[in-house]
Amino acid sequence: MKILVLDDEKIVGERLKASLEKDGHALETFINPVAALDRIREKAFDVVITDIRMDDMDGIQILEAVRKKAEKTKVIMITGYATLEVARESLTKGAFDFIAKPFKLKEIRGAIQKAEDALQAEKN
Amino acid sequence: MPIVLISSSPHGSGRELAQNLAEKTGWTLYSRDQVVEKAYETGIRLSRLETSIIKSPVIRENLARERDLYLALVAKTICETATDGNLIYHGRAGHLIAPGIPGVLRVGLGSTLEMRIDRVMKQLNLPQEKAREYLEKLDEDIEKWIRYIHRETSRNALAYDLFLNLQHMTLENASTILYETAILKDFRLTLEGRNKLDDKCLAANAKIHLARNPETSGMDLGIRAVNGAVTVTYMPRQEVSAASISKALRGLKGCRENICTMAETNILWIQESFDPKGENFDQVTQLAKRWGAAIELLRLDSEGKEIFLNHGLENSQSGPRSSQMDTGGVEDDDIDTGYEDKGLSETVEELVAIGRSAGGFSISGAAREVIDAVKDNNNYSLIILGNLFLSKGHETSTRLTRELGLELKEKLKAPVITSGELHSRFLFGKKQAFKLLGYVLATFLIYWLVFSFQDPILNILGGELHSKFKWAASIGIALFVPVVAYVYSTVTGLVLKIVDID
Amino acid sequence: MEHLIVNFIHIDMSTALQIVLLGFIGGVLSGFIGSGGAFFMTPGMMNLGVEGVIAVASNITHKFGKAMVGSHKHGEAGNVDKKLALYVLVSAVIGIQLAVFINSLLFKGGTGHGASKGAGANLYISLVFTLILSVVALSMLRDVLKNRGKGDDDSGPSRQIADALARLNLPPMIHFKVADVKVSLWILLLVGIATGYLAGTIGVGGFIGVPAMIYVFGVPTAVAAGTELYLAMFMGAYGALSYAFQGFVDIRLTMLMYLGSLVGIYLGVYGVKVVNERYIRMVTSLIILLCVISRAIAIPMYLRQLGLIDMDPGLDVYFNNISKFFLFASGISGTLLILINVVRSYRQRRKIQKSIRVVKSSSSKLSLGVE
Repeated sequence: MKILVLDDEKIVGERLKASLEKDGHALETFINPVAALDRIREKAFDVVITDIRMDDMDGIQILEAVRKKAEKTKVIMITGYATLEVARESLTKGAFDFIAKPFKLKEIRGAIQKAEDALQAEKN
Repeated sequence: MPIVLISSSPHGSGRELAQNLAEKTGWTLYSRDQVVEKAYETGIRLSRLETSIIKSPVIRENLARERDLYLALVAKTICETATDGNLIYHGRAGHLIAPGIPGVLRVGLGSTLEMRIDRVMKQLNLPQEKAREYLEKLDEDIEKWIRYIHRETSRNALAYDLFLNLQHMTLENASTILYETAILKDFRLTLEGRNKLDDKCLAANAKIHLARNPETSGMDLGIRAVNGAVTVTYMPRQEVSAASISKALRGLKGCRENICTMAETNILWIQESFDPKGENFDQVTQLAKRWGAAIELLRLDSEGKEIFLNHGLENSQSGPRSSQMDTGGVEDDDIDTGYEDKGLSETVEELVAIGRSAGGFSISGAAREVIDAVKDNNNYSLIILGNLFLSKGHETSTRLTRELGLELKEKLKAPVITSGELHSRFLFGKKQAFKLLGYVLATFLIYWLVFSFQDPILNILGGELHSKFKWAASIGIALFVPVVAYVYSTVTGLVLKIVDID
Repeated sequence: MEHLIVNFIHIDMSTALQIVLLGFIGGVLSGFIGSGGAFFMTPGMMNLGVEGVIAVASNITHKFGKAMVGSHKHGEAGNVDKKLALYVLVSAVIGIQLAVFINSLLFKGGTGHGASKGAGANLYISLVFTLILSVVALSMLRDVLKNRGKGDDDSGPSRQIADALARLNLPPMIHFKVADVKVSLWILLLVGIATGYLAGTIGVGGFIGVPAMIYVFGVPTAVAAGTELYLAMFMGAYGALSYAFQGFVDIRLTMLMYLGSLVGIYLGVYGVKVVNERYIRMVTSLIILLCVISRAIAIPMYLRQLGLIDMDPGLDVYFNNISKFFLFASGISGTLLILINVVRSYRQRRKIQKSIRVVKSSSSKLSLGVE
């Protein structure tokens, strides 16, 4: 699957890239939301994984943009500042899943798997 | 010195009201958002706790540690922010964050769903339908949060001192009402309240301290502070690290002494007055030894007035403990001793001496107050109700005790017994010996009968007779098996009690 | 006179003692693991020459009385969700009925000459037993090994299945107050029938019921155990009465089992309090695995008796003995592991009662922010 990861902490993208590419996914990682958004406009991703709290733009805006531009793309939110309010807002605005940091890799793998299943189901 | 705790539904004007009041009064303003930030800085994994409310049908039991730490953090935050005694706190379940502290003003805000939907549509840029869905779901989440974190519901009217309905009132007027209420004498933090707050703060500090210390962070600890003394109970399997608890707590601000007790479990003993020489004391300690339990004492004063006066007197005689000087290791006697504490401190001392103490404290009130006082540290395997409501007549006190027991059992999810029952249920006496003898004989009789008359019995169960009267076997089994199980299990239960295993 | 009633074995002193011992071991195990115990007692009795159906019937009767006494005690702790129990119960009854039907069909369907009578039911029970319990034991073991060294909070029960099903949101959803979960009616029915069916077939319903409630419904562990016990009482009663009606309950076996099990349970429960969680799960899965091996070894024997494979009947003895050996090895070693721990901590506890530290903090300079 084509996955875009956006997190202003570089290490997050690196760690996800290292492990998820082993599962056979193609990853592009970004630390700058604006650059990530440009890339999303150019290319269709299956899954976008985005942090919520970032400097220029927050993850909710990314979510809204993705929902507008690429309806099929599944958005998974990750954040260390998760609150009920933010999580609910994300889900209401169409996020596919919401994962609190710190998380285990298996959680993100599970979410990606579910996204894959959902995409598959939509196709059929 | 008012502490105002405001709770409102999400997007229900809580923030605006709090800000308005703060501008009016200059009192310190603090919001739940700041607690969230602080949790992040402290390393408490609040985000996992929050998302688990949404993601799991049930909250994982192992998040209990995060829950305790969150509550500790909130408590610590309030007392550290309210150093001058003034605080306006607002946020989710704000009215529930200082349970059992007399003198704080707990405020609820009500506004219609429609008003809130309008606000959400603007603030979160959502269409009306989505905004409604968002709020309805979020309200449900928050209810779940309140139930899990505070063991309450938002609908309990008794948890509020004041509930303002904003439907027909301007924010400005609501703020004025709030101000007028907050400056009433009723909502001045009493010395008792201040002391409780300090103790709460100390316990919270100790808890966070121990959780952050690498040597003690993984341990399952019960922590309570009373008058500056921190009591920590730990499990036997953690014995090796027990020394690090004392070490970690040494030098903790405000900690007069710390006592570590090893226990497999905790027993909460509630009574109006204690006596270390009484019969009940022997029974309870005997049980605690058998279970490897620590005993926490709670002196419940159902009249209410007494403790307040008591603390007032203390104040004039020896001053609050916060003004204690460097004594060079020679300490004054404990301020609480001897004065109308009805044997509490004496009994605690006695329990410390035999290594079974989980601390002790007094409160006044009824079930509600008891629950508030112990729910932060709730891991009791048994609650014992001793002599309570002594000023009432015998029947009334029995009934009140029973009602209290029922409520505690439901809210704290622990078995409750009275000290009278204790004797017959958990300890072995003469009566038990007779009972044992009787049941042993009955067991012998039953087994002898069955094994002497095997053939006719088997005939009924599966032989020729059975094919004629099939239902006879079913009825026989249905009646006979429970009797055998009951009679014999009584025997084994009693025998194992004698050898101390239960 | 011992052949008056063909289905029931003759019990001499040595057999009786072995059954009491089986009961004791089963009791320790069931107290320790939380439920089950029948997985040991049922095959154990079959190894003593008791027909499979009668072993199961007597076992379920045993469970009925035991659960009745036990659930009363546990109900007081508020760990019983009666509504959940009711739903599972109704569907479980269907499952049990199914099991009883299949079992008696296989038993009576035997060709009727000598040894092969009952072999069909024996084979069937052994197969189901081997299949289900090896899955349970292996996944449990994998869980323990995978989480090795992680003392962190992720060692709790996995929520994957429960979460996935909760998201499925298959209406109608039913809310259970005590357990605080919402579960789809259809999933409830499915799990209930499966639980009942297994309980009726191999007598180990709780072994499936408790994990199912924890993993599939997402019920807290304590409530799952409490509710299961409450359920076990009804399911046991229903199973016992049905089997009794069919004429398969040997009350003597049940009573002999009680002699051992009711003592064992106390020791097992005590063991749980003093042993750490990982050790509990490890011991549990090892015990079950050995049990499964034991039953698997006996399968060729039943196959021969049914004439499905060609084998020297003289070998039966060996198969039977090896099977017996593994079973007893599993139960006895597991029980010993548990009992050693019980005894050790029992003695330790007496020693350490005085161990207490009172540390007065060295600095008595207090500042609480107010001077």
